[in-house]
Amino acid sequence: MKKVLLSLSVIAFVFVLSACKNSDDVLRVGMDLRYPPFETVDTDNNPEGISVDIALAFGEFLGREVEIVNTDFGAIIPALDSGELDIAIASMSITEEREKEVDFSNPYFYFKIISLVNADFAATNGITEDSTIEEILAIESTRYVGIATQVSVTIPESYGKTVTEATELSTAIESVAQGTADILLMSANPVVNGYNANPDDTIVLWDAFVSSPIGMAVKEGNSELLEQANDFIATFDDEDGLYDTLATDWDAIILENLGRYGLEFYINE
Amino acid sequence: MNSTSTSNIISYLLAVLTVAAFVATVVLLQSSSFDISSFEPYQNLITTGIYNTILVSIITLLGSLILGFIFYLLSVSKVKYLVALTDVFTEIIYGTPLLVLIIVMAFLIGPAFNNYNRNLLGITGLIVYMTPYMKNVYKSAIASIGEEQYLAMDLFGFTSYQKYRYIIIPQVVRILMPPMMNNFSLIIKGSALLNVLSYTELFYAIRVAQSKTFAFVEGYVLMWVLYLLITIPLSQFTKWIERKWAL
Repeated sequence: MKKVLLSLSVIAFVFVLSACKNSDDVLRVGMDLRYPPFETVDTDNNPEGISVDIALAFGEFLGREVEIVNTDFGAIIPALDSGELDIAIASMSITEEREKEVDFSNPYFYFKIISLVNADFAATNGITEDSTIEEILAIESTRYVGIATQVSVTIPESYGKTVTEATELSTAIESVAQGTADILLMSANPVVNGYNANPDDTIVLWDAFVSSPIGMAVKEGNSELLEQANDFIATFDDEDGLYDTLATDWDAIILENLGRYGLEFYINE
Repeated sequence: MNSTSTSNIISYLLAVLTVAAFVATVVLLQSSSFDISSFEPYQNLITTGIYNTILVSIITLLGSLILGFIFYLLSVSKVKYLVALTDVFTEIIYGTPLLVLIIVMAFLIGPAFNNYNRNLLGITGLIVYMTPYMKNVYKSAIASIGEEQYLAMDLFGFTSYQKYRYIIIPQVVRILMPPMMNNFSLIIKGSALLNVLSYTELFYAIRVAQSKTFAFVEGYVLMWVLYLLITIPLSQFTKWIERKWAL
């Protein structure tokens, strides 16, 4: 009996040790810090990026302290549901499936979903940087690869294509570069970065499959915070509003990344 | 230095060279250029990752040693219910992938008790996962001391302290060490799965650096080498301990 008590007390101790209630005044913002330049870290592992700046500005707007909670992209919605996160500012596309789980704010960015294509596949099928998505979709037996929980899977599926699901960006890009998959749909930054890492084996196809609206997400029914988020987003367009500030800070970096566009690439639908 | 140990050293050198040659071949056969220097700016991040991997592994080792011992005691208990309980628990853990256990801990069990400390829940998952394995280590070690040894100790009138100090502990430790260290290696490799909780251990740190550099192949090679730098000295240390305690 003593031993049972002992083991129970060990388990109880572990739970008590860690039962920390989330205090109300801190705004807990979830994002996955592996998608530069929107959500990333500096060399000392401190959060930085466009979404981080938006989160901090939102905290200022509300007069609340902000804590950036680094969360695997696929775990963000569960973490909103469980109450661990207050809001997700994670470059999350507003989709029907997600609308069933969480409430989205009005869109504040539009991510054009473009393609990274294997160079040999492109050469064989006459695909160039400026081909259209209709040309790509017309090719039979194209091997699509996408990342589980992201639109890179759902978009090709909506066209009736079969998609191999990778668990991470790195393996998805690697499989396109090595030719075990033909095409990966992603937002512009990862696609261009993937191309820059494999310039001989891949090409970028700039014609966008969709212009995917990006919103902030809160737990279903959290209308108070959602309203605040929408009021905040309404100020982005103002003279010297957040769009202007972000453009000043990030235009050069985005331009360097994409080689074609600055922040306006994400603001215009 | 006798001839056998010299030939031994030469054999080992040759073996290491063979492996190194194979790795070099694989690296040279990569279609893209291979350059590890792009990870230089992320030294701090990767160092943090190594530090956290070692820290988590040691916490897990200690935690599972304690919990494993409690489970061993329960499994040899006179109360049938407790024995059954450890059996059921062991069966469940043996059939559970570590990744699943970590996710269940962090996103189901923790929040149910109003606990959102993801890192701690992840480590708890690791500890729980290792507990039955550690229990078995104790079981085999303690079973190795036969009835007749206890009789002999009683015959010579050993005190309790003497029994443990000179007979039981030296034998148990000697038998315990190798499987325990195997488990420690398992823990170190298993800790990589904490990356799904965005915890900055070695695997996660390299992946963050990869998301910036997009040098995936180099990143994984670097990761591999760093894990080996942690695990190989450890297993060598274990062998040394074994020799030291050898009868």
